[in-house]
Amino acid sequence: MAAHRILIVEDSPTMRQLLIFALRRLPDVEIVEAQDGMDGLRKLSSDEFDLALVDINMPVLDGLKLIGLMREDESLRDIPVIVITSEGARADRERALALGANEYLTKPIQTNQVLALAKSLLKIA
Amino acid sequence: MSRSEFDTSALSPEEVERLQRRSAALEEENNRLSNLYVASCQLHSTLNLTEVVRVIVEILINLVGGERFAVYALDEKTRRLEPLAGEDGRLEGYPRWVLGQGAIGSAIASGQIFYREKGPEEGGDTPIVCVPLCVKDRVVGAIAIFGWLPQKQGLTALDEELFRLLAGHSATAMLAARLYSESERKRQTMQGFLDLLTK
Repeated sequence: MAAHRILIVEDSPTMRQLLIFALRRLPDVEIVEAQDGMDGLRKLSSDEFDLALVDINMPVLDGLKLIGLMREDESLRDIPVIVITSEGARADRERALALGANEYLTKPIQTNQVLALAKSLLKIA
Repeated sequence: MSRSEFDTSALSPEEVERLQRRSAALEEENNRLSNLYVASCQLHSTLNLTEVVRVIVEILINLVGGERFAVYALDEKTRRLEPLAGEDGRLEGYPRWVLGQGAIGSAIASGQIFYREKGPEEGGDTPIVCVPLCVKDRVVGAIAIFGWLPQKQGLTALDEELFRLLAGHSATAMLAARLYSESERKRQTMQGFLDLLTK
Protein backbone atom coordinates (compact mmCIF):
# COMPACT_ATOMS: atom_id res chain seq x y z
CA MET A 1 0.00 0.00 0.00
CA ALA A 2 1.36 3.42 -1.03
CA ALA A 3 2.21 5.96 1.66
CA HIS A 4 -0.02 8.59 0.02
CA ARG A 5 -3.16 8.13 -2.07
CA ILE A 6 -4.26 11.03 -4.25
CA LEU A 7 -7.56 11.38 -6.10
CA ILE A 8 -7.76 13.54 -9.24
CA VAL A 9 -11.32 14.61 -10.09
CA GLU A 10 -11.16 16.18 -13.55
CA ASP A 11 -13.22 15.63 -16.70
CA SER A 12 -10.41 16.56 -19.12
CA PRO A 13 -8.12 13.57 -19.93
CA THR A 14 -5.40 16.05 -20.96
CA MET A 15 -5.45 17.76 -17.56
CA ARG A 16 -5.58 14.42 -15.76
CA GLN A 17 -2.49 13.22 -17.59
CA LEU A 18 -0.62 16.45 -16.84
CA LEU A 19 -1.51 16.28 -13.15
CA ILE A 20 -0.43 12.62 -12.98
CA PHE A 21 2.86 13.61 -14.60
CA ALA A 22 3.44 16.19 -11.90
CA LEU A 23 2.31 14.08 -8.95
CA ARG A 24 4.24 10.96 -10.01
CA ARG A 25 7.37 12.75 -8.84
CA LEU A 26 6.18 12.40 -5.25
CA PRO A 27 7.67 9.44 -3.38
CA ASP A 28 5.54 6.35 -2.73
CA VAL A 29 2.29 7.73 -4.09
CA GLU A 30 -0.74 6.07 -5.68
CA ILE A 31 -2.87 8.22 -7.97
CA VAL A 32 -6.52 7.47 -8.75
CA GLU A 33 -8.54 9.24 -11.46
CA ALA A 34 -12.21 10.24 -11.49
CA GLN A 35 -13.93 11.58 -14.62
CA ASP A 36 -16.51 13.81 -12.96
CA GLY A 37 -17.79 14.87 -9.56
CA MET A 38 -20.11 11.88 -9.14
CA ASP A 39 -17.33 9.43 -10.04
CA GLY A 40 -15.11 11.29 -7.56
CA LEU A 41 -17.72 11.04 -4.81
CA ARG A 42 -18.10 7.30 -5.43
CA LYS A 43 -14.36 6.75 -5.18
CA LEU A 44 -14.04 8.93 -2.08
CA SER A 45 -16.81 6.94 -0.39
CA SER A 46 -15.28 3.57 -1.18
CA ASP A 47 -11.60 4.23 -0.54
CA GLU A 48 -9.27 6.29 1.59
CA PHE A 49 -7.39 9.26 0.20
CA ASP A 50 -4.83 11.68 1.59
CA LEU A 51 -5.41 14.44 -0.95
CA ALA A 52 -7.93 15.38 -3.64
CA LEU A 53 -7.42 17.62 -6.67
CA VAL A 54 -10.78 18.83 -7.92
CA ASP A 55 -11.74 20.74 -11.05
CA ILE A 56 -14.64 23.16 -10.66
CA ASN A 57 -16.36 22.93 -14.05
CA MET A 58 -17.37 19.32 -14.51
CA PRO A 59 -20.50 17.57 -15.76
CA VAL A 60 -22.89 15.56 -13.56
CA LEU A 61 -21.58 17.05 -10.29
CA ASP A 62 -19.35 20.14 -10.31
CA GLY A 63 -16.32 20.64 -8.10
CA LEU A 64 -17.86 23.15 -5.72
CA LYS A 65 -20.81 20.84 -4.98
CA LEU A 66 -18.39 17.95 -4.50
CA ILE A 67 -16.33 19.91 -1.99
CA GLY A 68 -19.50 20.93 -0.17
CA LEU A 69 -20.57 17.28 0.09
CA MET A 70 -17.10 16.26 1.28
CA ARG A 71 -17.16 18.85 4.06
CA GLU A 72 -20.58 17.64 5.20
CA ASP A 73 -19.39 14.02 5.46
CA GLU A 74 -17.51 13.20 8.63
CA SER A 75 -15.36 10.57 6.91
CA LEU A 76 -14.33 12.93 4.07
CA ARG A 77 -14.24 16.27 5.87
CA ASP A 78 -10.54 16.23 6.69
CA ILE A 79 -9.20 15.31 3.25
CA PRO A 80 -7.23 18.31 1.96
CA VAL A 81 -8.48 19.64 -1.38
CA ILE A 82 -6.73 21.57 -4.13
CA VAL A 83 -9.18 23.23 -6.50
CA ILE A 84 -8.01 23.54 -10.11
CA THR A 85 -9.99 25.84 -12.36
CA SER A 86 -9.96 28.19 -15.32
CA GLU A 87 -11.84 30.78 -13.26
CA GLY A 88 -9.37 33.45 -12.24
CA ALA A 89 -11.84 35.82 -10.62
CA ARG A 90 -11.27 36.52 -6.97
CA ALA A 91 -14.92 35.76 -6.13
CA ASP A 92 -14.58 32.20 -7.44
CA ARG A 93 -11.37 31.71 -5.51
CA GLU A 94 -12.98 32.94 -2.31
CA ARG A 95 -16.05 30.81 -2.92
CA ALA A 96 -13.95 27.67 -3.31
CA LEU A 97 -11.94 28.44 -0.19
CA ALA A 98 -15.11 29.31 1.77
CA LEU A 99 -16.61 25.94 0.82
CA GLY A 100 -13.59 24.20 2.25
CA ALA A 101 -10.90 23.94 -0.42
CA ASN A 102 -7.43 24.23 1.09
CA GLU A 103 -5.62 25.62 -1.95
CA TYR A 104 -6.51 27.08 -5.34
CA LEU A 105 -4.76 26.78 -8.71
CA THR A 106 -5.76 28.47 -11.95
CA LYS A 107 -5.17 27.18 -15.46
CA PRO A 108 -2.84 27.07 -17.22
CA ILE A 109 -1.12 25.33 -14.34
CA GLN A 110 2.58 24.92 -13.72
CA THR A 111 3.47 21.37 -12.75
CA ASN A 112 5.94 22.60 -10.12
CA GLN A 113 3.12 24.56 -8.42
CA VAL A 114 0.98 21.42 -8.25
CA LEU A 115 3.91 19.50 -6.82
CA ALA A 116 4.72 22.18 -4.24
CA LEU A 117 1.12 22.41 -3.02
CA ALA A 118 0.75 18.62 -2.88
CA LYS A 119 3.97 18.30 -0.88
CA SER A 120 2.80 21.00 1.51
CA LEU A 121 -0.63 19.44 2.12
CA LEU A 122 0.77 15.90 2.40
CA LYS A 123 3.53 17.22 4.65
CA ILE A 124 6.31 15.80 2.48
CA ALA A 125 9.68 17.56 2.67
CA MET B 1 17.16 13.62 -3.69
CA SER B 2 14.95 16.06 -1.79
CA ARG B 3 16.06 19.46 -0.61
CA SER B 4 16.22 18.22 2.99
CA GLU B 5 18.70 15.48 2.03
CA PHE B 6 21.01 17.87 0.19
CA ASP B 7 23.39 19.47 2.65
CA THR B 8 24.23 23.00 1.54
CA SER B 9 26.01 24.01 4.72
CA ALA B 10 29.41 23.46 3.10
CA LEU B 11 28.56 25.71 0.13
CA SER B 12 29.08 29.42 -0.17
CA PRO B 13 25.99 31.69 -0.46
CA GLU B 14 26.86 32.27 -4.13
CA GLU B 15 26.95 28.53 -4.80
CA VAL B 16 23.64 28.04 -2.99
CA GLU B 17 22.10 30.81 -5.05
CA ARG B 18 23.49 29.29 -8.25
CA LEU B 19 22.06 25.88 -7.28
CA GLN B 20 18.67 27.43 -6.54
CA ARG B 21 18.65 29.17 -9.92
CA ARG B 22 19.63 25.92 -11.61
CA SER B 23 16.88 24.06 -9.72
CA ALA B 24 14.30 26.64 -10.81
CA ALA B 25 15.47 26.35 -14.41
CA LEU B 26 15.19 22.55 -14.25
CA GLU B 27 11.67 22.81 -12.85
CA GLU B 28 10.71 25.11 -15.70
CA GLU B 29 12.22 22.71 -18.22
CA ASN B 30 10.35 19.83 -16.60
CA ASN B 31 7.11 21.79 -16.82
CA ARG B 32 7.77 22.56 -20.48
CA LEU B 33 8.53 18.94 -21.38
CA SER B 34 5.52 17.65 -19.42
CA ASN B 35 3.19 19.99 -21.28
CA LEU B 36 4.62 19.05 -24.67
CA TYR B 37 4.59 15.33 -23.94
CA VAL B 38 0.99 15.34 -22.67
CA ALA B 39 -0.23 17.45 -25.61
CA SER B 40 1.44 15.14 -28.11
CA CYS B 41 0.20 11.95 -26.40
CA GLN B 42 -3.38 13.16 -26.26
CA LEU B 43 -3.46 14.38 -29.86
CA HIS B 44 -2.38 10.97 -31.16
CA SER B 45 -4.51 8.93 -28.79
CA THR B 46 -7.53 8.74 -31.11
CA LEU B 47 -8.57 8.33 -34.76
CA ASN B 48 -11.94 9.98 -34.20
CA LEU B 49 -12.03 13.52 -35.60
CA THR B 50 -14.47 14.79 -32.97
CA GLU B 51 -12.16 13.48 -30.25
CA VAL B 52 -9.10 15.05 -31.89
CA VAL B 53 -10.83 18.43 -31.96
CA ARG B 54 -11.91 17.96 -28.33
CA VAL B 55 -8.26 17.37 -27.38
CA ILE B 56 -7.18 20.53 -29.22
CA VAL B 57 -9.84 22.50 -27.31
CA GLU B 58 -8.61 21.01 -24.01
CA ILE B 59 -5.01 21.93 -24.81
CA LEU B 60 -6.00 25.49 -25.65
CA ILE B 61 -7.91 25.92 -22.38
CA ASN B 62 -5.82 23.90 -19.94
CA LEU B 63 -2.27 24.26 -21.23
CA VAL B 64 -2.31 27.56 -23.11
CA GLY B 65 -4.99 29.49 -21.18
CA GLY B 66 -7.21 30.56 -24.07
CA GLU B 67 -10.66 31.88 -23.21
CA ARG B 68 -12.07 32.66 -26.65
CA PHE B 69 -10.82 30.62 -29.61
CA ALA B 70 -11.90 28.45 -32.52
CA VAL B 71 -10.54 25.40 -34.33
CA TYR B 72 -10.99 25.58 -38.09
CA ALA B 73 -10.94 22.97 -40.85
CA LEU B 74 -10.19 23.77 -44.47
CA ASP B 75 -12.95 22.96 -46.94
CA GLU B 76 -10.79 21.91 -49.88
CA LYS B 77 -13.54 22.57 -52.44
CA THR B 78 -14.38 26.13 -51.42
CA ARG B 79 -10.92 26.90 -49.90
CA ARG B 80 -12.74 28.38 -46.92
CA LEU B 81 -11.75 27.86 -43.31
CA GLU B 82 -14.86 26.82 -41.40
CA PRO B 83 -15.01 26.67 -37.59
CA LEU B 84 -15.30 23.13 -36.21
CA ALA B 85 -15.31 23.98 -32.51
CA GLY B 86 -15.05 26.91 -30.14
CA GLU B 87 -14.35 27.20 -26.46
CA ASP B 88 -18.02 26.87 -25.53
CA GLY B 89 -19.13 24.52 -28.30
CA ARG B 90 -20.99 27.21 -30.28
CA LEU B 91 -19.87 27.96 -33.85
CA GLU B 92 -21.64 31.27 -34.43
CA GLY B 93 -19.79 34.51 -34.16
CA TYR B 94 -16.40 33.31 -35.39
CA PRO B 95 -14.95 34.90 -38.52
CA ARG B 96 -14.44 32.80 -41.64
CA TRP B 97 -11.54 33.22 -44.00
CA VAL B 98 -10.63 32.17 -47.50
CA LEU B 99 -7.23 30.54 -47.79
CA GLY B 100 -4.74 32.95 -49.32
CA GLN B 101 -7.00 36.00 -49.11
CA GLY B 102 -6.70 38.87 -46.67
CA ALA B 103 -4.16 39.15 -43.86
CA ILE B 104 -5.29 36.05 -41.97
CA GLY B 105 -6.04 33.89 -45.02
CA SER B 106 -2.60 34.73 -46.40
CA ALA B 107 -0.88 34.05 -43.08
CA ILE B 108 -2.53 30.64 -42.88
CA ALA B 109 -1.59 29.84 -46.50
CA SER B 110 2.03 30.75 -45.72
CA GLY B 111 2.13 28.15 -42.93
CA GLN B 112 3.61 30.70 -40.51
CA ILE B 113 2.12 31.32 -37.07
CA PHE B 114 0.49 34.76 -36.97
CA TYR B 115 0.89 36.99 -33.91
CA ARG B 116 -1.14 40.18 -33.84
CA GLU B 117 0.87 43.27 -33.06
CA LYS B 118 0.04 44.99 -29.81
CA GLY B 119 -2.56 47.68 -30.31
CA PRO B 120 -6.25 46.89 -30.67
CA GLU B 121 -8.00 45.48 -27.63
CA GLU B 122 -8.74 41.79 -27.46
CA GLY B 123 -11.80 40.59 -29.27
CA GLY B 124 -13.00 41.45 -32.73
CA ASP B 125 -12.31 39.43 -35.83
CA THR B 126 -8.54 39.63 -35.86
CA PRO B 127 -7.11 36.86 -33.70
CA ILE B 128 -4.32 37.49 -31.23
CA VAL B 129 -2.67 34.31 -32.48
CA CYS B 130 -3.46 32.24 -35.55
CA VAL B 131 -1.80 28.83 -35.93
CA PRO B 132 -1.99 27.20 -39.37
CA LEU B 133 -2.38 23.43 -39.11
CA CYS B 134 -0.19 21.95 -41.85
CA VAL B 135 1.05 18.55 -42.92
CA LYS B 136 4.17 19.43 -44.89
CA ASP B 137 2.83 22.14 -47.24
CA ARG B 138 -0.79 21.06 -47.06
CA VAL B 139 -3.04 23.29 -44.95
CA VAL B 140 -5.57 21.20 -43.05
CA GLY B 141 -7.02 23.89 -40.83
CA ALA B 142 -6.15 26.57 -38.30
CA ILE B 143 -6.47 27.57 -34.68
CA ALA B 144 -7.38 31.17 -33.90
CA ILE B 145 -7.21 32.61 -30.38
CA PHE B 146 -9.24 35.77 -29.78
CA GLY B 147 -8.88 36.21 -26.03
CA TRP B 148 -7.06 34.89 -22.94
CA LEU B 149 -8.28 33.76 -19.54
CA PRO B 150 -8.28 36.78 -17.16
CA GLN B 151 -5.35 35.43 -15.15
CA LYS B 152 -3.09 34.90 -18.16
CA GLN B 153 -0.38 37.53 -18.21
CA GLY B 154 0.65 37.13 -21.84
CA LEU B 155 2.41 34.76 -24.22
CA THR B 156 5.26 32.68 -22.83
CA ALA B 157 8.01 30.70 -24.50
CA LEU B 158 6.06 27.54 -23.62
CA ASP B 159 2.98 28.88 -25.41
CA GLU B 160 5.02 29.40 -28.56
CA GLU B 161 6.35 25.84 -28.31
CA LEU B 162 2.83 24.51 -27.83
CA PHE B 163 1.68 26.45 -30.90
CA ARG B 164 4.50 24.89 -32.95
CA LEU B 165 3.52 21.46 -31.66
CA LEU B 166 -0.15 22.08 -32.41
CA ALA B 167 0.70 23.34 -35.91
CA GLY B 168 2.17 19.97 -36.89
CA HIS B 169 0.66 17.36 -34.61
CA SER B 170 -2.92 18.63 -34.70
CA ALA B 171 -2.83 18.67 -38.47
CA THR B 172 -1.49 15.10 -38.62
CA ALA B 173 -4.05 13.93 -36.09
CA MET B 174 -6.94 15.60 -37.93
CA LEU B 175 -5.84 14.30 -41.31
CA ALA B 176 -5.32 10.78 -39.96
CA ALA B 177 -8.77 10.83 -38.37
CA ARG B 178 -10.38 12.03 -41.58
CA LEU B 179 -8.60 9.41 -43.72
CA TYR B 180 -9.46 6.67 -41.22
CA SER B 181 -13.13 7.68 -41.29
CA GLU B 182 -13.19 7.65 -45.11
CA SER B 183 -11.46 4.28 -45.35
CA GLU B 184 -13.77 2.79 -42.71
CA ARG B 185 -16.81 3.97 -44.67
CA LYS B 186 -15.45 2.39 -47.86
CA ARG B 187 -14.61 -0.82 -46.04
CA GLN B 188 -18.10 -1.06 -44.58
CA THR B 189 -19.65 -0.40 -47.99
CA MET B 190 -17.53 -3.13 -49.58
CA GLN B 191 -18.29 -5.49 -46.71
CA GLY B 192 -21.98 -4.84 -47.26
CA PHE B 193 -21.65 -5.77 -50.95
CA LEU B 194 -19.69 -8.93 -50.07
CA ASP B 195 -22.33 -9.95 -47.52
CA LEU B 196 -25.02 -9.51 -50.21
CA LEU B 197 -23.07 -11.56 -52.73
CA THR B 198 -22.32 -14.40 -50.36
CA LYS B 199 -25.87 -14.77 -49.02
